[in-house]
Amino acid sequence: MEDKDLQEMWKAYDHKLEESRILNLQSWAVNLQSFQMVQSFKAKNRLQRLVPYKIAVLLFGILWVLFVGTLVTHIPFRINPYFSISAGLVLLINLVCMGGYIYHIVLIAQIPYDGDITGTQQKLARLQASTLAVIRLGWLQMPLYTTFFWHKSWVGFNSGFLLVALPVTLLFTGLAIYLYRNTTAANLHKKWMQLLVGKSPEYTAVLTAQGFIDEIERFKCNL
Amino acid sequence: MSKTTAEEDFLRLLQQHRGIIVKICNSYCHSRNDREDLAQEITYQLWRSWHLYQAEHVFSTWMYRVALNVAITHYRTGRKRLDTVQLEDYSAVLATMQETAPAMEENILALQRMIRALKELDRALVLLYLESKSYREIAEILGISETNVATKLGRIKGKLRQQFTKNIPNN
Repeated sequence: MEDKDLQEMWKAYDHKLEESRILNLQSWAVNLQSFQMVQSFKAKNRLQRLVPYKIAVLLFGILWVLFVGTLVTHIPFRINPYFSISAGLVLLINLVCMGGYIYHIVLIAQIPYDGDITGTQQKLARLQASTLAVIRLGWLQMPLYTTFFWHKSWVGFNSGFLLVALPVTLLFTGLAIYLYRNTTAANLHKKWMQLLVGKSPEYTAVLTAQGFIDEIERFKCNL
Repeated sequence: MSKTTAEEDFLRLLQQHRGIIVKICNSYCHSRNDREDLAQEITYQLWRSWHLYQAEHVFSTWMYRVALNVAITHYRTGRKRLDTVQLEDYSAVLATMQETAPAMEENILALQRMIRALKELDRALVLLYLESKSYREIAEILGISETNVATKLGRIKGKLRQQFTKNIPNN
């Protein structure tokens, strides 16, 4: 079989398609405006299919931010500054994480498709994989949950604070820094990572996206 | 409601090149529903990107770029294992397809199945080659070098020829 035989075969396919009128575009492209409306509704559904876990986390995040926000605004700083600072920072980190989630969803939905294929697919896959950045940031709030209940009446040189509260906070700070530095694409396959984030849809999406990024890299290299 | 000139131009070119959509959908989807879904999504994204199209460029090249990007994304986000039939198993699928599409020739169906068994990006490369696009155009659409296109195509064409000889001996 010669090279041109494949192309001839493909041309024959074109003729067959022409004869069979397999795709009647007129039936659903006759009125582009109503077609666009239906499709944008479908696109929303597809987006939800793509990121249902993201949306669920986002909703949970909104509730959590509202709850913490209410506490922060109702407990004055002078009554318990440790609580106000801890809760305020938790609020800030959660807001940034949520902003990141929304930004990713919007970018995925709006990415232009008329760029070159490897470039566009790389952008899309990187966007999906960038969820890792949000997860990493999320770890940083861990020690703040151990300083919520600190109170100026017992923070200082007393055994309860020095032997229990402070070591626990330091331990969580170390752990948060470790997780922040090690939650990377390279560690996605490690057991400890799987144990921590489980087989959540988001983890699988990041893993798949990362796999595709590697595949694109291999495709772009002349291997 | 009367159509604007932009809509008319778009629909005319779309109608002229509708074969591209069909071939891409057949190469990236297995079920009829999935194909229809993808065809609509491609048309929608083409219309959404229509304002970015510059008339001095070849429409089919631009269309391929958008359609392949949409197809690969569609395939990846809703990927079904059913889609990835191994080359060796293609004859069984071919038999099923012949029942549903008797007008298609065996060779074309076999080629279609073989393309479907390739990785997403390799499929795009082969489709562009079969459409007789030049290496330069293929490189531009895919975002890789011409040398890379030549190397990869050589490898894939060899594989396809081998499969044809193995499965359809009279070729």
